[in-house]
Amino acid sequence: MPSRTPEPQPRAAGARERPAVVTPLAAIADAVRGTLQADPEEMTTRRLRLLDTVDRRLARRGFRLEAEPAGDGEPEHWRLVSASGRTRAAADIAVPAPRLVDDLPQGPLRKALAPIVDIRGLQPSPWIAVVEHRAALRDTAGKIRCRLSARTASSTDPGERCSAVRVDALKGYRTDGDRIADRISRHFGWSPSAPDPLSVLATSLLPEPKGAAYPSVADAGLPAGLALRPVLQALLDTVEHRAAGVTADLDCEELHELRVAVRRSRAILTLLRSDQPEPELEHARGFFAWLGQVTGPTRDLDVHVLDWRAHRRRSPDQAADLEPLGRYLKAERDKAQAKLVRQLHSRRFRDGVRRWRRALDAGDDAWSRTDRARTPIGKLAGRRIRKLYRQVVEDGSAITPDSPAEELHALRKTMKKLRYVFEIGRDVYPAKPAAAVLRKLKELQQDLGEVQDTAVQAEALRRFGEIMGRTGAAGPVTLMAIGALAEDLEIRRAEARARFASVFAPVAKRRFGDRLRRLTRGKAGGGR
Amino acid sequence: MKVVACYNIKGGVGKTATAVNLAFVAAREGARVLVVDLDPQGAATFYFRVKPKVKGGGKGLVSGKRDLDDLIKATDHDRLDLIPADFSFRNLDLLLDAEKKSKKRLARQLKPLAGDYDYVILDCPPSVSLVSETVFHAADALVVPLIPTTLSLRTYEQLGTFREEEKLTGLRLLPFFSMVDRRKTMHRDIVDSFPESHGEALPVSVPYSSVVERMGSERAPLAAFAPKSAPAAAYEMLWAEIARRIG
Repeated sequence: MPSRTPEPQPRAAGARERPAVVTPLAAIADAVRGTLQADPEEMTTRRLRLLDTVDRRLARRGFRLEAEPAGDGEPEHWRLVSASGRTRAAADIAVPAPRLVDDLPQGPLRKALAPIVDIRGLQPSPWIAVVEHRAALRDTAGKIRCRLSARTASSTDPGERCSAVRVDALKGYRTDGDRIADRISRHFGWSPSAPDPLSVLATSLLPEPKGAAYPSVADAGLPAGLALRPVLQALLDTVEHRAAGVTADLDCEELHELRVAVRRSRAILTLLRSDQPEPELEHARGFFAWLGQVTGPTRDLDVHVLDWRAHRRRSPDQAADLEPLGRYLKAERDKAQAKLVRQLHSRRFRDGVRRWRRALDAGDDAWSRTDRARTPIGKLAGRRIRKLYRQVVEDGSAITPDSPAEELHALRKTMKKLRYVFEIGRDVYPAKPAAAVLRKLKELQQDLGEVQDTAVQAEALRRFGEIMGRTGAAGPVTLMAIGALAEDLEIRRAEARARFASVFAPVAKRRFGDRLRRLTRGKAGGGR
Repeated sequence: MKVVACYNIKGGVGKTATAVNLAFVAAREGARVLVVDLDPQGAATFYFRVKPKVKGGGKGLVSGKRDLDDLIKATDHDRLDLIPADFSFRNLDLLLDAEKKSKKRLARQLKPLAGDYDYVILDCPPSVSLVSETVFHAADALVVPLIPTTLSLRTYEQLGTFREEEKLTGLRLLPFFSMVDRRKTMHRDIVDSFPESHGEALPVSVPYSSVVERMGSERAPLAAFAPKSAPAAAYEMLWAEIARRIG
């Protein structure tokens, strides 16, 4: 059913905001009804929370997930609402509600959410009160020709309030709806294009993650120190922001993003490393190395849990057999998480961040001391990219089907460095060829990642199996299921290993190298 | 999208009341429902307070040149829409006869609505005609209201025979008793014995009640003005069983 949502038109500069109080709907209905009759106004109040992932996957796809409590200990009513206001799916969810879609009861809601939300956790917004006044306008035969509603959504934490008057033009009676919306717009200043107050409130209560995920320098000609400083600042912002998310245990993506920001920071610090050691950069290097190390165990276990969930989805018949493994992994993960939270609350973390922030905020001189810092970033990054690329080609070409896993792992690490440095200049390179280069690098990196991660996971699974068997946490059926799971991983590893030659070949091709050189040596890339 | 037709060769058995009340229950439970009033008398259209007029008349409905979506009117009830009747529907047989592959015309016309509705409920005129054959090809199930009388049962047997002859084996017949007066011995006997020979019979009977007649003055489905009445409860149970059977 199409709907029109009037909001106030701007009447004067600075008067853009909507009226704080909606004129009583009965008065609006009476003023605009023409020959139609208005039903007595009805009012409803609701109290609800909105749910979305940390990266706002639902909002980006135009959805809103509402959770309405029924009472103490009673299940919550969840409703997935599309942009048009239609309920796509609904379900009653026992409290405390699970955060992962995998743990929701089977049914239309889970089915609708799964492809959008995937492995991300659902975070609740603060409580929202929704007051809605409704009235129907009828013709002489008593048929409803259109509906009016005035909705106000407000939150006390933080104090936010948003209202809108809405006209629902019914199918087959659009002319009536349009006419009434036009009158409301002219008489009361509510224009027909405002979004739903709940959606507006959702934007401020569940904001998008701050800043670009992977910041890039803006000008290849800038001295490296000054060009990289804002990138490092943005990455430190990400570290701090994500650390808060990790501490609150919002979603495993928080830790992943934190670790990516750490690795990118380290790649930039290596780029700036000169013969004359800079104490602040050296300290930051040590800090990020430590942070990378202490976040590792939790991330590894996060990956295990994700993999366990994925396996459970793929093979529901084995789900029951693998439940003890899931419990074990979650318990281990919770232990690692508790330890990580202590590290993120530690003086070492706080001081590390503070000191690095101070260094980043220091004057331009502090970032122009060394030859490297004064070299144009395009040139500096270009040299590093070409060097890393040569190393990738050399190391990758030496890999044969019999090469040990360590050689692939070493290549993976070089690949990561190459990609991170390349992405520093992403915005200054011509977009199309840069995207093509990145795509190939990512494909190769993903394959190397699959080879390494599946091997590590299979080994860890066997270790977990041994411990669980020894401590009596798993019976023979579970141990066999764990063995089968480890075998699955081995098969995946072998498949990824077999793919290596075909994903490496395009990267090693002369044409790819030429393209990389043209990008990094070209005018936009900062020249030779 | 499932298509359910309320049909009986015989008139006055409660087809329209069934179509309107089942549609209302389904929509209230969250399904998106479209009622198509194929009966030129337009009783379902009247119950929903919609004007019995369709753009282009019967020709607009069957020619395929007009998008069915353009003919749809929202009712006063959430998720419940209607394609109203038009007096020109009395000539639907002739209009269909003039079309190629006329028996599959309605099924083809309804197909584009699959994304918009979960259920289409067809309120059919009585008699066996080209219109009803078109309905049989479009429907997943025929909900057949029967009054517990000998004549009514006879028309049901005729319908069964027709289905066999036309090889409409995929068409499910879902008979149930309506306007049942349990004070009458004959009604009681028929209602109790019919399922023994007809396993497809729905295990719900709608009792005779003056409240059903009030639908005409209230111009609304039963559950909207008499939600606690026995017929309203019966239609609710009936829909639950139909929805379960058609999946």
